[in-house]
Amino acid sequence: MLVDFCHRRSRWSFLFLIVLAAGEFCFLAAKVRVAEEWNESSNPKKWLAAARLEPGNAQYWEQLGLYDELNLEQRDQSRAADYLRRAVRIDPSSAHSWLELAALDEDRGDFSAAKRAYEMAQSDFPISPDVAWRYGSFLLRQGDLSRGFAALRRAIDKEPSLEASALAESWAVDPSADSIAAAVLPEKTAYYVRAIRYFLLQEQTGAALTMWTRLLKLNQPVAMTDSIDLIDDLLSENQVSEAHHVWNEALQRSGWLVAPDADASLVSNGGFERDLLNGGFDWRELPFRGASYDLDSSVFHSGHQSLRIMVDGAANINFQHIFQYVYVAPHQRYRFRAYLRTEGISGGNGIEFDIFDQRHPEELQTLTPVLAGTNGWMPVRVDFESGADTQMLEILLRGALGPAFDSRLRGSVWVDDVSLTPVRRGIMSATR
Amino acid sequence: MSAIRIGICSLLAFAVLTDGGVPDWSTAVLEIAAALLFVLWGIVAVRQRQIDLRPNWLYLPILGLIAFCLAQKLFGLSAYPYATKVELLKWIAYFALAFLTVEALRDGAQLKTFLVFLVTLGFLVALFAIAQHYTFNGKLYWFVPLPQSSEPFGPFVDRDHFAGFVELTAPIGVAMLFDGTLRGEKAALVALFTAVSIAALVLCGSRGGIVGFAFASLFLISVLRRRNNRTRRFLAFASLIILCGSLVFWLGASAIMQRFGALTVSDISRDQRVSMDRDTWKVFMDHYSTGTGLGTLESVFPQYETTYTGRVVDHAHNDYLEFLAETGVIGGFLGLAFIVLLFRQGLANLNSCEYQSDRAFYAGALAACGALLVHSFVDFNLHVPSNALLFLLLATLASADRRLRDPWNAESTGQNWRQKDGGVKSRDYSTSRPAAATR
Repeated sequence: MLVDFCHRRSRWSFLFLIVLAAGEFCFLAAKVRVAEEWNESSNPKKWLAAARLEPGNAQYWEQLGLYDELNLEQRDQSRAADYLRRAVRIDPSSAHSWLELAALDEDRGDFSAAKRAYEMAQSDFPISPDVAWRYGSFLLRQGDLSRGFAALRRAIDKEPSLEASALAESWAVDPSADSIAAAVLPEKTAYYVRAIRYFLLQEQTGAALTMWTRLLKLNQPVAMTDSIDLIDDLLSENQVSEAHHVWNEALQRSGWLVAPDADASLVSNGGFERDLLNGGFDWRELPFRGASYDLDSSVFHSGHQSLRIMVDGAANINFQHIFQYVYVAPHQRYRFRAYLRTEGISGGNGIEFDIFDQRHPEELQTLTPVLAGTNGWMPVRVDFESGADTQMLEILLRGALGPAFDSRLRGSVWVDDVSLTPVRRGIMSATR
Repeated sequence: MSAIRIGICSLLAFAVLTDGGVPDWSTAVLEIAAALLFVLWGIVAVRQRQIDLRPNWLYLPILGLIAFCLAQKLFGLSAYPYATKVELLKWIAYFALAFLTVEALRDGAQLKTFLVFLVTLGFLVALFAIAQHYTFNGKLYWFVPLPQSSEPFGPFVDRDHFAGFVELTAPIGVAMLFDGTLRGEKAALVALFTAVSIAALVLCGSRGGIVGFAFASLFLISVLRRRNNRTRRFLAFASLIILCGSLVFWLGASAIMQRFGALTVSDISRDQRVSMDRDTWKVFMDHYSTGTGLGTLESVFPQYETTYTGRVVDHAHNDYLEFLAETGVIGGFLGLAFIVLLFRQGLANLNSCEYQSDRAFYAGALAACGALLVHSFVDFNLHVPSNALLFLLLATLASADRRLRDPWNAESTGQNWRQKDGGVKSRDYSTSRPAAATR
């Protein structure tokens, strides 16, 4: 397509139009870039210049609004509100601008405007946990508990890390674990487990127990480890029955519980077929220097593995770092039995089990026969009767103290098939 | 016009080397330089006292789109007019440069030079990318700090954008090799350049890029297979495959294969992609007539987001859906018209070519555009300025009217124009050069 510029006027007109169009285009492009450059500077005066140069950019007005609101030296809330309103007028879909405007309106006491702004933010970004969190907090401050809790629930559903803060805020306005569980927590195990741990940290054992009860009602899988913190806390508060009740519930829900038997052992994981839970009514192992323990699948009395403890004799230790709490009935006869295998146990007197009532040691303390040297699998057994106030025993594997002060126990010991069973009256003995 | 050609090539290289033209300052330079080149073209036209415009059907949907987006901004149809303005400035710059390229590349020699420039640029960028990959110290060009969770490759902050660039340059080299345009040392050099680019594409591990390039390869095979010299083509193809394979093996094939199976920090999962596509479709359905406004998806998307990731969604990882959401049915129709016209005109030009070099160009350009269009189903290369610009340049060149391409073989009569030395060359066919069959 050929276009002729025969006349001078047509040539200059054409060139003028080209230059005009290009010039305008350059000006627009340069304006955008210069405004961006000014806005990125650290000088607030340049931010205002940037906003005036490109008044269509909502972000510039929002930045000015935040500056005027948060400037401790020259705070101007009125001007900040004007800037933020301008920002949301230009870009009504900016949830962040609406949030800042809402916070400012609330700070100025204009709660209805703040609510409108929060609702706009919610509408612009419904899935945002940040929006839900701030809106929910506002509603709680305004006394609208049901909607506030619902907003917090939306927040922690998307951002679980907000759960502790949500529980704190909820508890502050409504210290009812039931209400909080029903209204704030999403119906997932992980949230309830974290809530339990939160309330335990706050020393609100009752609230933690409520959370546990509601967790069970979810009918979702529960791991044994989810219950350990609560049980330990109950034990530390001497609420042994409650602790055992929670333990049994956890056993059932997690699938650990084997069919109950009247004569079944009260010792959990006596055969060491599972990893140790290190809490609750299961085995606990305390770390210590100079000794190590693991589950040995090559040496066992029955099943698939046993517990192996190796002491290197490097330190003078009073070894008593493997133990378990067992729930028992008072005034009941019991038979304790375990199988031990030793290799090179020397220093001190040997290895023994110590069974006692930690809270009432005067009522019950009994020891099994000591084993030392090198022995194949040997049963150790002791019968005893629990005291009148005994609810819980501690079964402790320990190094028996020798005559010398400097008793450096060394060697290896394997433990398997530890059991504690009720004994009918009339059958009592202590044999090895 | 040579100044304009040099200016366009320099701008293209500048855009590629500055993180694809993504930084604001780089985009501003691109836009202002495009305007200045346009003025230069105007001056040249005025000095020549005529403009010899090459008709191009693609101008219609492009100008229609620009006009529509301008209307979005001016008549309140955009959710965020400022964002539309910023995006519109880019697209006007792309169009201006594409128009200038079509006007500036008039004959076979100029086109060939441009092709060589593209293949060489692709090679140099790929070489740099490979070197940086193996000596990476966490910074672009070893000194430019990068944002967190970025996965740079070459001068691009996102490896998929590097792949988009290679999709637009490597098929040109492949087409030149397949079509027997080059012989001897030149063929070997182009083969090496192309092989390095392809090896870098494989090394970067962009799955979308690999698929796009595979499409380009199949396209080239199908459009060029009717030619003679099958043996030469087979040899060229085999040589390229062997060269590429050797390079990939040497660069470390196992690590590359691992990349294909793994998602990295900056990747988005398949579920996230599906969610993003679904949400963007909802945006379109709620604004199907005129869209939300060019460049406004980032503003509007949060209202529709259903899978929270904690990240800002600035692009939908699907250029088609994003385009539909922003421009509605009107924009969608114009976009579809663009694609249809591109391939219709491009294939028509390809099939009516007289010279091998021209065939290589049309085939390569269409293959490159097709590769990027395929990749655009899963990425947003058309929102990376350097890739969008290069795509538009190739598209408009491939679909430009061929009739006036070679002024020595033009059919029309009575046309005068000034030569460089100030003389006037008339279209007297009794004294004109014969058809340039020896090119």
